[in-house]
Amino acid sequence: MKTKTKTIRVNYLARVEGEGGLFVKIKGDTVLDVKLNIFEPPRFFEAFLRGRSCEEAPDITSRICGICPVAYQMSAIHAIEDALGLKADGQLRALRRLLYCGEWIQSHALHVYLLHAPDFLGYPDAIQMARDHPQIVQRGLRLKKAGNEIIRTLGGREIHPINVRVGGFYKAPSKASLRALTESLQWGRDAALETIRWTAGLPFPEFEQDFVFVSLRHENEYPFNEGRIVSSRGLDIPARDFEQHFTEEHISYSTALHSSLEGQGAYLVGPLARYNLNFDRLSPLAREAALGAGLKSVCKNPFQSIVVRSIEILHACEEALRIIGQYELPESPAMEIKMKAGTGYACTEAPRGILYHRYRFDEQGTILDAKIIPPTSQNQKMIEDDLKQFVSKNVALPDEEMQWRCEQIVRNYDPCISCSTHFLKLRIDRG
Amino acid sequence: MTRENMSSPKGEPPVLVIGIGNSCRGDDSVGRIVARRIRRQNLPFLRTIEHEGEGASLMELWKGAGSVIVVDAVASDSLTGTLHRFDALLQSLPGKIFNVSTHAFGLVEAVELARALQQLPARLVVFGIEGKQFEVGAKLSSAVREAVPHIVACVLQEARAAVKSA
Repeated sequence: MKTKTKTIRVNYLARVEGEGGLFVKIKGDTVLDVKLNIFEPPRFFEAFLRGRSCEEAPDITSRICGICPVAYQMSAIHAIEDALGLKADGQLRALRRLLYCGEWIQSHALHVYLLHAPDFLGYPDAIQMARDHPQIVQRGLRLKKAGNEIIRTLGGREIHPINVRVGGFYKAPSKASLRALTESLQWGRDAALETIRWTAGLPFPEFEQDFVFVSLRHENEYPFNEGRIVSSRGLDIPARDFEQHFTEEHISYSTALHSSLEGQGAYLVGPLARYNLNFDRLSPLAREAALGAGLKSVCKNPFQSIVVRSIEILHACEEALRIIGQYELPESPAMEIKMKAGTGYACTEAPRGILYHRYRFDEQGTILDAKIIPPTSQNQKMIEDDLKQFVSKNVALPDEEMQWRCEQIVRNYDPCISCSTHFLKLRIDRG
Repeated sequence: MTRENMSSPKGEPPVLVIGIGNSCRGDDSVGRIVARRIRRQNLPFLRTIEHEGEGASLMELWKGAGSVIVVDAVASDSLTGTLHRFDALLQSLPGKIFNVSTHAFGLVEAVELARALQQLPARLVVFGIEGKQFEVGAKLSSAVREAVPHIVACVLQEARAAVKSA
């Protein structure tokens, strides 16, 4: 008897940042093909940067994404400062970390409540969910606002902050302006605890993979801006060695490049990787809340990334409160810059995972070439791998449920396709 | 809708104009350009905001506002520069033509979520301007550029009507 071939396709994958396409082809019990199609990668920005001053790079690259502009600014700034031999410390360093807390809180709150939760509760979107669970959705919106308030206070505005520059900030915030955030962040800390309890009670499919996790690791902090790049298989390198260990390849069906870790292939970056490689660096309350929610120090179920994001919201609220509590106005809002030719490298932890930047510029600071590798490009291969594994193990699922799960698997990664593309469509083919 | 949001926050002009867009994506920036042109007129009855179109913060902006006018780019099959008008209190926005934004939770979602949570402003009119070039690094197309004065006039007419009816 001839084995039936089946194709499942979703032409427009909702609730992801940006647009793209996905195609799954199954023959009998075998998954023949999985393709995540991505178009319009940020290579344009790399070309766009050539000939511009390196001091413009933070603002130019922040335009790549409306959800994680801080990540682009931070990676750009750290890479340029690396080339100039500058290293921020004291309050300037703390303020950058605070800005990143704001981005994590707002980005994670958006994904947990408005993009990911509807998958688990059986709603097509957050609007339908809000009709039955208005208080829950309101909590998510208020959490997001708490993150946005940090970015607005420190960055000058909520999206594409304008106060960030190579060397520091154009203007340091007053103690009073940061203290004004305390109440909303204290509320945010309590709301994050509720979020962890709520997400831990969602129904998770049993699905684990032997992931290769990759994240930053700092000697004593949960990583935002700094750290060595480490993996769950023993990699431990500085950011400047990134391109010696990670390679990118062109895939015929996608204009975004696929990243691989040398000798390992697909790897996972983002909250799950950070959590697994840095559990001991989480705040005591975040660790306690994670264990209380039934997670262990290692979590290999990508569907549970919604709980891990909630744990990171809690950690970011606590870290923001700690930084604000210890804040003193710095003597100068920025370090002095002495321009010189050089090449600089940096990796910082965007909400979705490590974001690599490299810049080479001349003695005037004019950029000669740039390289940007966003987290979603790095996760592409892993998303396809998850889909292959999940579909293989659950091939008997009815088409409608299979499609739902496939979309959910993509959303587990909170892919920011606007960072690397502009269009996503999903197809599952069973012939 | 509560009575509370039938009026503007204390001390604020009665009309809020939000120009949405991404300055790096050609015609997608037209909403911002319109808002900027209107701001330069320093009219006492309105304030303007330029915005990237992220939905949750849009909801925050118009929460409790009296009259809100949103200006954004759209992509349907109309002629470039065509102006579409939607009364968001009476109708849902056609999601397909407003998907120029890459946000997973953008203007269309914000309007519907605000409706579900009863957080729409007392008056919400959305102007959509037909664009053609949305690529990163693209310039404003000539048809859109030429339409800007007309769009500004229409937004101001809408704003004056809102003030009269308040």
